[in-house]
Amino acid sequence: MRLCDFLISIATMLQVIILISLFFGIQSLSAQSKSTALIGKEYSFSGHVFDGDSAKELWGATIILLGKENSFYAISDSLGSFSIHKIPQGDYKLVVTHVGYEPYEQIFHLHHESVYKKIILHQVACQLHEIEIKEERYAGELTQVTTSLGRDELTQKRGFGLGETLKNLPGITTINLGSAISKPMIHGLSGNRILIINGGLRQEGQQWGNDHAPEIDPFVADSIAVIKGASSVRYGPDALAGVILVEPRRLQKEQLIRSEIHLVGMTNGQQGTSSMLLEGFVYRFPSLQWRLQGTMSKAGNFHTPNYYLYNTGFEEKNFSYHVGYFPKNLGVEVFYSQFNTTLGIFSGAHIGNIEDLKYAISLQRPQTFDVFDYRIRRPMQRVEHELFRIKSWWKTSLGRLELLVGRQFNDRAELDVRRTAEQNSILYPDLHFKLTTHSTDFVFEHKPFLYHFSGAIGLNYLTQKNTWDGTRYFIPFYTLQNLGFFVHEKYKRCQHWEAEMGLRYDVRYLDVILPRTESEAPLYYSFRNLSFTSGIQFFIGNKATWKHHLGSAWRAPQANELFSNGIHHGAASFEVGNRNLKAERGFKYISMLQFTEKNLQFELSPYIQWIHNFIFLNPTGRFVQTVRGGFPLFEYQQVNAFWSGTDVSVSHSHKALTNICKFMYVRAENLFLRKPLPLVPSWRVSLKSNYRFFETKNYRLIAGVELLHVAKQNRWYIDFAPPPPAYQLLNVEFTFYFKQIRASLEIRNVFNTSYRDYLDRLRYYADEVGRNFIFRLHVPLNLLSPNA
Amino acid sequence: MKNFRKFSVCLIGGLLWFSSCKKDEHDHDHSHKHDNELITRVTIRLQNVSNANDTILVAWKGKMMGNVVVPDKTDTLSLGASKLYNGRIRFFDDVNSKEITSEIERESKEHLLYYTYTPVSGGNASDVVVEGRNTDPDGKPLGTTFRLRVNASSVTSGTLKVDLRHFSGTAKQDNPNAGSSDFSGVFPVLIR
Repeated sequence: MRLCDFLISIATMLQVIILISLFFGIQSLSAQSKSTALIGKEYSFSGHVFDGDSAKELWGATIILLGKENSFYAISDSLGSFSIHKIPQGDYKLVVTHVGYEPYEQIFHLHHESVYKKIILHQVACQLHEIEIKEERYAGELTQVTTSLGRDELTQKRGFGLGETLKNLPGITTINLGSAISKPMIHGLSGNRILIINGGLRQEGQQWGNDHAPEIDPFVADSIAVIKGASSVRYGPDALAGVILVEPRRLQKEQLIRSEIHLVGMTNGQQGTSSMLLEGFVYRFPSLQWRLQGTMSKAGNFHTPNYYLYNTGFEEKNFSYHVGYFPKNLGVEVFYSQFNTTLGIFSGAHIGNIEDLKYAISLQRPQTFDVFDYRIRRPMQRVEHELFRIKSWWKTSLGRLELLVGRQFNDRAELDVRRTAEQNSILYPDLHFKLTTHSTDFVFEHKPFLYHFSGAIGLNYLTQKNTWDGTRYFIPFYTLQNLGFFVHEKYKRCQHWEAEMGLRYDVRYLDVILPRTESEAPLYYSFRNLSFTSGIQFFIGNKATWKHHLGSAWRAPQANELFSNGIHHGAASFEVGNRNLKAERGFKYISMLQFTEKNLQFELSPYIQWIHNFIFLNPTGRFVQTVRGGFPLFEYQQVNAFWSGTDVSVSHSHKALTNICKFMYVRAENLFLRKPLPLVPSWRVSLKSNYRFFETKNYRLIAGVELLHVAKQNRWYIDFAPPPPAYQLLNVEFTFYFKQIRASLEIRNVFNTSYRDYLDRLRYYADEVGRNFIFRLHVPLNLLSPNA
Repeated sequence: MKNFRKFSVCLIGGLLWFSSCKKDEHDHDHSHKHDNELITRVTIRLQNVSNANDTILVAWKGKMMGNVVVPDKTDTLSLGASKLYNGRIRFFDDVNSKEITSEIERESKEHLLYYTYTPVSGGNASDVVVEGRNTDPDGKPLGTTFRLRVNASSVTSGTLKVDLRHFSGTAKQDNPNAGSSDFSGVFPVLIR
C-alpha cells in the first residue's frame, strides 16, 4: 500500500511537471512552424481524409509519402486529420490506404510551400467490419451487433464514469445510485450479466449490488465497444446481456516523448478533473515503448434544480503505467492500473424501516442539509482496484500465439452511519471485502486455411478469492475456480456473406465458508456448461449489411444471490439469498440491418432473449421485524423470463449540418407470473443536431443541440412508489478546435428541469441533478520528436 | 527458433515479475468483529409522581438473528388509571456488556426519542400522553427522561411505540420518521 501511495505521489508530481511543460510545449509548437518557414527547404504536409460516400472523416487511414531518399508517414486521427512536418523539398509518391477502401495514389511535388490536401477514399465493394479495421487480424465475432465510442466521442464525454460515458448509445442505459455511482445496462440487463473486458482482461470487481459501479478510469480507454449479443465464447461465462470492451491506447513510436492533457471543470458539484499522460519510446530503441497516465477528480455535493444533495461528493485518484517491447514478430506488454475512489452516499437515502421509506417518498424535498461542501461522510464507500497484466504474443508461420496473465485486486469498504459522532469519525469500515483474482488466457489464432476459414482456439483459467471482515455480514468467504476452453471459426465469402460459429465449455467450482455464527461446514458448488455463438452476415450490394446472431450464455449464481442475509440500508429492505439457486442460461437472437446511402445512415436492430432460471430479487409481501422496525422481505428467486426490444439509429448529413436520431425500446416479462420484471428502462428517443460553423485548416467550431425524451415506465408490478413521470432534457454543446487542441463548453439540462429517473435508486428520495456547465480542454503535445 | 527463445525469455521474465508482484495473502480469519452498535435490550422505568414506591420496570429484549437484532420478548406496561409517572428509558448492548444511554445523551443533538400511543378500538389516542421530554442543548426534545400521563379513567388497552431516531445529515425534527432509525419497539399497554 505504501508503494501505491508513493506511485500516486509520483504521478501527481508528473502531472505538475507536465502542466509546466504545457507552456513550453505551446512555444515549441509555434517555434517549429517558424523554423520550417525560415530554412525554406523543409515543408509540412497536412490534410483531412474523408469517406467518399458518407463524407465522414476517416480515422486510422495511413498516409505515406515515398521519396527517393526519405519516406514519411502519418495516421489520420478521429477527425480524419493528419500532418507531417519537416519534409525536405522534392518529388514524392503519396499513398493513402485504409482497410475497406480503395488505395489512393498520386505523384506529389513539394517545392515551394507547405501543402494542405483533402483526400477522399472510396469504399471497396466488400466493406469489412469496423473492429477488423482496428485489429487488422482475427477480429473476434464479426457478426455480433456492436456499437462503439471512438477517441473523439470519448473526449466529448470526459469527466464522467464508465456508465455515464456509455449512456445513450443505442440500447445502453445506466442503473444509478445518484450521479456518482452509475452502472452500464445493456438492453435492460446490468451488473454481472455484462462482461467488462479491460484491455483483454475480464474486469473482476465487486458487482454485488446496484450501488457498486465498475472500477475503471475511462481516461485509460482509447475506444470502447459494446457487443449487444449474448457472447461468452472468447471471454468466459456471464455475458448474458453483452460485453463492454475497453481498449487502452496503443503504445506509439512516432514521437520520442509526447503528452496529452485533459482538464474538465463542472459547475454542478464544483467538480474538477484532470488527466494526463506521458508516452514515448526509448531513444534508439523504438521497439521499447512506454506510457504513464494519471487522473485526479474531486467533486462536492451535487445540486438538483432546487436543493443540494448532501454528502454526494467523491474523490478519485487513478494512475497506470504501460511498457511494451516489440521486436519483430514478438511482443510483450506490461500494464498496471490502480483505481481509487472515495464517495459519499446521499444522506437522505440512509433511512430506517419501511415507515421511514414511505415518509421519505411522501416528502416533496429531502430533509437533509441544503449546503455545499466537499466533505465525504458516512455513509460512504472506499474502493481500490488494481489491475496488472502481462500480455505476450508471438507471430509464427502458423498463426499468432497469445498469452495473457493477469492479477486483479479489489478492496471495497463500506462505512455506514454510526450512532454517535465519535464512532462516525472512525474510518473503520462496517463491511470490508478483498477480492483477489488471478487469470491466465492462452489463445492461438491460426492463419486462414482453405482460403476462407479463420479463427482461434483458447484456454482460460481463473481463480478468485474473497475475504471479508467488518460488522455487517453480506458475502461469505469463498474461493472460485473457472476453467474454460473455446474454439471459434469463421467462414468468409467476401462478396456476399460470411458466417461464424463458436463453442465453449466451462467448469466452475465455488467453495464457500460461512461465518461462525451460521455453520462451520464449507459448501461446495460446481457448475459445468456449454455456450455457443453463431452468426451470419449478408452484404446487400455495397450499401447494406444484414446480420443475424444467435448466442447462448450462462451465469452461475453469485455469492450475494446465494448467501446474502440482512438489511440493505438505502433500499429499506431485508434481502435473503437462496442456497439452492441454479445457473441461469440465456438465448439471445439479435439482428441488425445497416443501410448507408450518400448522406443517410440507418440502423435497425431488433432482438429477443429467453432466460431460463433468471435470478432476481423478488418482493415477498412479508415483513421482518428488527430492532430498527419492520423491513419488507425480499428473496432471490428464479423464474423464466423473456426479453424483447429494438434499437434504431438514423443519421443524416447535409452540408455542415448533421442530424442523428436514436430510439430504444425494451420489454421484460416474468413468464411465471406473467408480470413485468423490475428495473427495466422505458422507451426513449434522442435527437441531436450538429452544425459546423466554420472550418479552416487550423480552426473549427461545431455547435450541437440534443433533445432527450425518456418515457414513463408503465410496465411495473410491485414497488414502493410508482415509476416517476416522463421527462425531457435539452443539452447544448459548443466545441472549438485549434490545430490539435480541443476546447468545449457543454450545458447539460439547459432548462434546469426537475425530474426523477426510474433506474436511479435515489428516485425515492430526491430529484436528479440540475443544470451543469461543463468546460473541457484537451491538449496533445509532441514534446520531443525523434528527428529533432 | 531464435524468436521462440526470445519469446520464452520474455515470458519467464514476465511471469517472475508477475509472481513477485503478488501481495501477501489476506487474512484467512473469517471470524468477524462484533458490531459495537448493537441495541439488544431496552428498559423503561416509570415512577408514580405522587407515590415513590409505585414503580414499574418493563423491558424489550432482542436476540441475534445472524447479524441482525430481532425482537424476542417484550413486557406489558401495566399502568394505573389517571396516574402521572416520571419515566426513564435505558438502552443496553448485552453482547458487548455495555449501556448505551450515556452515549445517546452525550450526542443528544443527533438523537430523539418519540413515543406514540395507539389505543385498541374504542380507546382514545389521548388515553396515554408522553410529555415533558428532556431536551438537548438547543432546547429540542431528546426524551431519555419524560413524564407519562394516563388520562384514561377506566380499564382499556393499547400499545406504546418507542422510536429512537438518529439525525446525521439532517436537521433534528420532532417526527417519528425523520432521520434514520436506531431502535423501534412496541410495548403492549394495559390500563387498570
